[in-house]
Amino acid sequence: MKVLVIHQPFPMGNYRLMPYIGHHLKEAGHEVQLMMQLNGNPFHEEYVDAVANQNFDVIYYEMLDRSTFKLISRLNNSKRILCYASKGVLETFEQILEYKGEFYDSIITNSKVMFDIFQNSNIESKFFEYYPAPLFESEIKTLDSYKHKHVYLGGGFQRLTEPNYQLERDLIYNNKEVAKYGKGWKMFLTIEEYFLQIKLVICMQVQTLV
Amino acid sequence: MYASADFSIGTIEPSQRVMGMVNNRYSEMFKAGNSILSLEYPGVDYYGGEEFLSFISSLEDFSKVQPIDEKHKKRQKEFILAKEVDFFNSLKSLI
Repeated sequence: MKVLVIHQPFPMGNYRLMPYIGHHLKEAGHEVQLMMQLNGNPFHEEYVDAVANQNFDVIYYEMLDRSTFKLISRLNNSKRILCYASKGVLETFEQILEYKGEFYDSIITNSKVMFDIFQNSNIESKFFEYYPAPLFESEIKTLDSYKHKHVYLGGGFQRLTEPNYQLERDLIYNNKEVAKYGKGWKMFLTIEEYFLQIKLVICMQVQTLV
Repeated sequence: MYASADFSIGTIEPSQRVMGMVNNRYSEMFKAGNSILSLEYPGVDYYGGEEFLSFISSLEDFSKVQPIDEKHKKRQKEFILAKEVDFFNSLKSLI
């Protein structure tokens, strides 16, 4: 099968996961190409034609920005498989039911609740319990700079004030014994930190695709 | 990072818990093979992963948990690799 996998740009959530999934599909014998989502940028008819003319059998993606969904809605000659693990641009999880045939043809989801809803709505769907971890064994190394007693990787953002995150604040966010990494903890980067970040991304993308 | 630290900590977003999801960081922590602490969320189904998690609900719990041994780490990795195979089998059946 000829498969297109759409991914987000760094540092958005699936910039690494989707190429990893593409890699495994390629290993399974599929012809795989990657494409970065549009992130709200408009597109011309030529762009639609360029993607459609590739005659992908399957397009695989997670929740997209509205512009890329608009493109997807035009690519109905391909089987469009949505990995539904967040509501993304929608207000509620259940709203996705309204977009069958537009945003997707089939669903794979890690939500047991949504899986039952899809099944009851006669939507072709599969359930999975755990996401693949986009780490190759050769990449798992011990580094002195990360030798902490406790580490937490995750975003800060609204979680620092929202009532729903009180337990997380008590045990992690306000706990000085926990080393925290991820987006939202630091608003400003030095020039050196910025370029280090870019360098890391390029290294990881090359490793993923080789 | 996970592989370098003594313990990594997992959390699941409120919206994910309501929808019956496990956060994808758990997969990464399992695969990195270190000891994992998880905040204790009543009612969450970890689909067998709870065997490899130390649940914490207070600051005092940090001092009670013990790091896992090599045998445990190996089983933890096997567990998540099996789940990864399940994912790809499901995806391939749709393709």
